[in-house]
Amino acid sequence: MKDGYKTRQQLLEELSILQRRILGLERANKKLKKDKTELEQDAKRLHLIFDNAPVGIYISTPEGRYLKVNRAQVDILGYESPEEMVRSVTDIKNQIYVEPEDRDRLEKLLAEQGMVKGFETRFYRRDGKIIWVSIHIQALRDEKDKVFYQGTVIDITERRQAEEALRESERRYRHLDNFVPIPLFEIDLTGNVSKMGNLALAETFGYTEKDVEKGLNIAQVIIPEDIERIVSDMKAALRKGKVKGHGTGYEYTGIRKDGSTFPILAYTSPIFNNGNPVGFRGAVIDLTAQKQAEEALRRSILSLAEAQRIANIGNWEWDVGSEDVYWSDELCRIMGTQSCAVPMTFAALYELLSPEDREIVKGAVEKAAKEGRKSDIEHRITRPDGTVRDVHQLVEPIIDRDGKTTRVIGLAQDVTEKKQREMELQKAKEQLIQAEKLSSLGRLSAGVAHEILNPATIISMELQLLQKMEGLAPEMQEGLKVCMEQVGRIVAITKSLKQFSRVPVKNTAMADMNGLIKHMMTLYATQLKMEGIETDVQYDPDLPAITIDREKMEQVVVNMIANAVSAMEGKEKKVLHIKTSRNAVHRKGDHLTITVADTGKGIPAEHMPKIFDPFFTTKEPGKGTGLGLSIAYGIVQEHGGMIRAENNEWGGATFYVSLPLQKEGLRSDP
Amino acid sequence: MERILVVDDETQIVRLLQKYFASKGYEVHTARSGLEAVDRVKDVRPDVVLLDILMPGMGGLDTLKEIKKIDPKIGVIMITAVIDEELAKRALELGADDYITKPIDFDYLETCVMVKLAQLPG
Repeated sequence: MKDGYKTRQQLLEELSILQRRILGLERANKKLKKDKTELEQDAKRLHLIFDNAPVGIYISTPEGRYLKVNRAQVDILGYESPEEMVRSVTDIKNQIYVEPEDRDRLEKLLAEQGMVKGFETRFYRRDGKIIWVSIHIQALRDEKDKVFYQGTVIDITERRQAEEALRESERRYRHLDNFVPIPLFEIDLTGNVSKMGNLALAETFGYTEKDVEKGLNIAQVIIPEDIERIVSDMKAALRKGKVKGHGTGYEYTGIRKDGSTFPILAYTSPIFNNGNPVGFRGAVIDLTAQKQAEEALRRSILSLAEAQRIANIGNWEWDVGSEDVYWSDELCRIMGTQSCAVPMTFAALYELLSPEDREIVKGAVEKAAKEGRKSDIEHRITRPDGTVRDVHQLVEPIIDRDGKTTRVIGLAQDVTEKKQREMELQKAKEQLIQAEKLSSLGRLSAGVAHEILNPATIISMELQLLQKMEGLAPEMQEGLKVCMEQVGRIVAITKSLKQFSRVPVKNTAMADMNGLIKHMMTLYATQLKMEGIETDVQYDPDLPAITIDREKMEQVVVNMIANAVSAMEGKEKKVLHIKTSRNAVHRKGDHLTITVADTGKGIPAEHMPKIFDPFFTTKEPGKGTGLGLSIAYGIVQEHGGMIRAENNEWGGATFYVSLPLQKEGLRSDP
Repeated sequence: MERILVVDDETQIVRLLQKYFASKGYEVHTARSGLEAVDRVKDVRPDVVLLDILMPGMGGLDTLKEIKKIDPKIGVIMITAVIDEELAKRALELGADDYITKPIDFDYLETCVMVKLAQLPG
């Protein structure tokens, strides 16, 4: 309205506006009132917070004075009260800061940024103790545009110490890490080797520490063929989660920086961060030496087996109390058993032994197990195929620190051949002794024969002269006759002695042994018939001719026959078996053997070693000189042969005369 | 009277042979060694020599040779041990006329001597 009058409508509208304004003012007033109360309450609260906040709060001046500090600030720095602190600290930079330049740095930062958060420095407490603090600070201006600082302080000494301890621990770990000769590593999930890899890791793969620091990926150090396997192994490790102990080792082929490959064993454990896998940590073992050792061991086991095979020595081991016994392959071979793949038992061993031998072996094992003593035993075994072997065993206990036998070990050697050789050697030795005995006795006996003969001759001559005297009483004549007979006996002995004396074989010629024996049998046919002796003579038709002193060999045959005949005296069944044969009983070569067997009384064991001794006789005095077999022995010996006796199935004795078919066998007398 | 020379290193044997042949009427000379025998042969020219083969020093076989050198007509009967017959055979090859073995059988020896003496010429 332009004329200045207001319409009612207008007035009403204005009134309404005014009323609304009043209402608004009233509301505002109410609010103000309320705000004031709230403000007062806030201020109260803020004061409370200021006083009781666990962080130090302060207001300070660039010049280095505190304007206001709270309780916590006082406590952190060890003052008595806020007032006392504000009064006492006149130069914050030099009184509070351990490194005063830090305050300069802080102020510079504040000048640049207006606010600094988490500034860490060291403060002196009032008692001189140093503490670590973290400062939040902002520069403000007061109403007079003067700069002041308002900040908070947190005592982080404990945190810093913990961090320091951690750093120290890391340093120590790092040191140890590099000191440990085992390659250690950490890789992330993409296979990058972290800088945590130690010196040994670098060295093992031919890298320098710097190479590792520059970064290595697993693909550089493991052959491609193995990478896929690593991935699946890692996945398996992740599924399993945290690994206790050293976990599972995986074998891979590593690559050195120079491209050469080598076997490794990796122990890996996944690293989790907040439950999420972030990588792996672990150790690598270079298996080169181990593989070499394994190869060396394998070779050494092989050569041990070879040595056992060559030496014919097998071994066994038994853990006391267990069922199974370890047998070496060679032992199985010695025992002649096939089933060496399965664990052997003592029961299997005992099966190969006769009851007596079983006791010997059992005894040795028990002595070792119970008394801790070793034994040296010899016994025989009968292989499953029936062959008999001589075995020499050393059985020893393995004793632990408590003196208890934990294991028993045995070394078994097949000594069958050795024993045979020993027996042959023993036989040869005995024969040599016999031959020596006979040879020295032979030399002696020739002289003795002569020495006896002259006195015998003188006695004989005196007796003859006495016998020629006339008018002798009959009993005198009888006595002289007996004396003459006894002289005859003496002379017979000298004849035997002479035969026995070693006259060298000289008239050697090729002869037919069958013919020789036939001739002797013809000569003795009547005597044998009279004695009631049957004969069984088997001539080998293929017997080759042999070089012998025929006369002496006849003597041998005669003596053998005579010996057989007298052995069968008084026996009901008298059979004289004679056989010729060609064989290779001796290793030295082909031999011709004459076998003379009787059905007489046999030779008692105690007589066996003496039967070839001169003057050994079981006949009554006067019936034999005891030189027959001795003479035969000497002659066979001269021919390079052997004569031996054993008892036979008919209860009598069998004599074997074997003569070498080669001429070299013939010995020339020295 | 026939002369016999008995040669043996064994005194008793010499004595007994001497006694026996003396009793049978022979002229018996003796020697105890081969050398002595050769001297005796030279001295007494015996008809028969009974000569032992085994003697120390000059043995019977060498003595035999010496005697036969002096006079091959002298009969030499060797005396040898029964166990040394092969020596006697060797002596026969060297010119001995016969041999007998010890122990000596007087009857047999005397026969041998008589046989030899009968063979002697003149």
